[in-house]
Amino acid sequence: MDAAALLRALQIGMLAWLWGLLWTQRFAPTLFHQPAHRQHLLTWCGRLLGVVCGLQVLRVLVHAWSLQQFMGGELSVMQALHTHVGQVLAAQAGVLLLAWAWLCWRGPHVLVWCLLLLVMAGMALSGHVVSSADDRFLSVTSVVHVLLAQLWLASLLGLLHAARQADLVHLTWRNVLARLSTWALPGMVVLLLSGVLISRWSVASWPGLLATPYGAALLIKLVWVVLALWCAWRLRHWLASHGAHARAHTWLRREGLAALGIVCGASWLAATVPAAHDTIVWPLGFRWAPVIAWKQDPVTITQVVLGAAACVLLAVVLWMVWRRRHARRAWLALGGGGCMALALALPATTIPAYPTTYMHSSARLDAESVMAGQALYQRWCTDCHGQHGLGDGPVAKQHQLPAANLTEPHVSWHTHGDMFWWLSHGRGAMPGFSSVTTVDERWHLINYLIALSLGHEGRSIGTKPAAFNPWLPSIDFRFQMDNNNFMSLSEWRGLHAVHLIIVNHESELQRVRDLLKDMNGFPAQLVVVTRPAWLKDVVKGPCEAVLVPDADGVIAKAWSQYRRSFAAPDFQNEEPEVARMEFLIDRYGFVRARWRSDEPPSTLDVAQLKALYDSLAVEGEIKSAAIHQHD
Amino acid sequence: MQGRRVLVSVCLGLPSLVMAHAHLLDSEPPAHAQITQAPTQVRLRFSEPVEKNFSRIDVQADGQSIALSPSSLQWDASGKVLQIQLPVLGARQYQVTWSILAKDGHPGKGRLGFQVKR
Repeated sequence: MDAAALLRALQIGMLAWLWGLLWTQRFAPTLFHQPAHRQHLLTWCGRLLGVVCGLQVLRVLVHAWSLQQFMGGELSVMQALHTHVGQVLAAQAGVLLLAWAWLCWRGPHVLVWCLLLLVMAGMALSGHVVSSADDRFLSVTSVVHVLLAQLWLASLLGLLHAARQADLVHLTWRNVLARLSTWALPGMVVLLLSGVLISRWSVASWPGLLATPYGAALLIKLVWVVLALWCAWRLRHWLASHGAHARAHTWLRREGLAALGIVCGASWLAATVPAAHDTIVWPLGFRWAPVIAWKQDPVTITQVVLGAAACVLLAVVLWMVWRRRHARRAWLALGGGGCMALALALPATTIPAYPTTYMHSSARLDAESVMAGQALYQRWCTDCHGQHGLGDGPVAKQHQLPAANLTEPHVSWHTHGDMFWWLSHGRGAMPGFSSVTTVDERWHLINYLIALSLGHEGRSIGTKPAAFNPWLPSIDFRFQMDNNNFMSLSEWRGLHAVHLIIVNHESELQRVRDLLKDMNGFPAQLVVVTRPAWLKDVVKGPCEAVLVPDADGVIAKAWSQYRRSFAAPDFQNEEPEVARMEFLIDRYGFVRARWRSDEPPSTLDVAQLKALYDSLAVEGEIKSAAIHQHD
Repeated sequence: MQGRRVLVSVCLGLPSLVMAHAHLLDSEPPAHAQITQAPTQVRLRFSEPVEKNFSRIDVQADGQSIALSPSSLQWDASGKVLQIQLPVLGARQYQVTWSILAKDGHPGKGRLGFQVKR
């Protein structure tokens, strides 16, 4: 069991209980109308604060101990206080001790619950959200969420304690609950909304929610939330219906119990790797992908969806006809119709999935990886899929095997994890290659297949960028700068656009020289890739362009996958290399336009290029499904 | 009584999970790289901010640690990128081992290899 998580959960519960007692005494003094009750309350507060302080000291020690384990025993408690979490824990301990001293000296003064409020807010500062310190909105949302959750728990536990200790009058009880309910409603709305925002950040995807330990913990927490909301709704129902006192007490106790379940869930989440950073092992043999299913078999899917819609329509009609005279029958018809529609539509709109379906690649889509993948393809795949990926290999032809044409768009419909599974374990007549290739090699092979397929799709990329439609990811490459440090193309992502020129023929160097003459105010970074010997001829001395020597021609060969156009599709790879290619890469790393030296217009002057880059600059951030999966 | 039982079972159900919450996004030299010019530094980029005083980098050549100056360890402003200067490296196989403590208090470690060729 994770001691830190357990201690955190216990402390949150105790702290909330303590704050709840102080709050109840302040805002519902009628519950403590007898001096004996008030004395009893003070005793309880002192005890609870002592326990909370003790738990805080334990949390500091556990943090120091875990760091000591990690650093190999070279660490003292004082050094542990130099970490961010250590400092937050120490600050919380200090504030708690101050609150304890004040409680002993002045009783349940307003300053005590302000100090406790500070400690509660501090709970958010030692969680995962620390990692998103750049995102102020998320940090504030997290503090608000944690604070509201604890205040809700505090009010529940405070009321429960008061109900057990005090001799309550039915009317007093009802009034206090009514006031709490009024305040709790907007608070709960903010709590739920902030919870959704934080979950979206930490889970990032539906598969992450369904197939990671973090997602499981979050779903369990959600079950507790639903139970708590159900209890709260029953309490409001009791308030409206003037029910018995004991009944309300029972529902309040259940809501308190559900709230404690939520606290445990939250502490579990704090100790678990967020799903956004975890490896997703998909547990099901299928996944819901209606768009891909439709692309694979549009006629069947259209028929099934129409059938499901007809079921829903019929169910709604029956419900409208029967709802007045036969309410039970009407609801049964609606439920039955909905279930039938789901039973029809779901199987048809799912596609096969594997444990690795949502796994992230260990190799980025970069030039070296693509070329390594091409070499592996030539070794293992050409017999069936053919020299150029057209599915026309000699073995496939001889044995009439259905080898896929890898130049078609269906490659990009599958996740990289799907392809990894097929390469590892085989698919249909294709054997698995896990015994003859390493994991990294299979990812390289996948990168090559993706570049090959995208290159054929990229024929539609023209000399004018299609507005708001980024889909072709750039192929990354690394290079050494003058100071021997490395840099990669992807480092400009999010900063500014890149104008990439790949020169394969010496005569095209003049184009680079022409551009460099008038680079003042050019809105993109100019990157020139060519042979090392030619770079000296491009420009003498420092210039505004980044000049990348491509000694083995790896970058040019990898990017030549994107050379294809409708005029020159070159399915058989027989075309000589293009003398010069230029690519307009937007600031999110997507290729938006391409010029070839042998296709008009082969060049644009600086003013025309500036106009194109300026037109992309107004697009703002575009969320695309084709976001670089390898990052 | 029933409520207490549920609470105890929930608490016992808390799993023992202390795993790395910050992971390596990128490195220079990259993992498995074969380079002709010896790098002058190792640069590691993590997904999340990392505690500066609780991070270690060890570079080994054929199982032998290379002496690195702790003062050459540098961080960028975001606390996500760590770099350390290297002495002049010969043509060999190198292994970089790193251990870090994420800002949220969770540790992580890993390794990557590269080769300098003549």
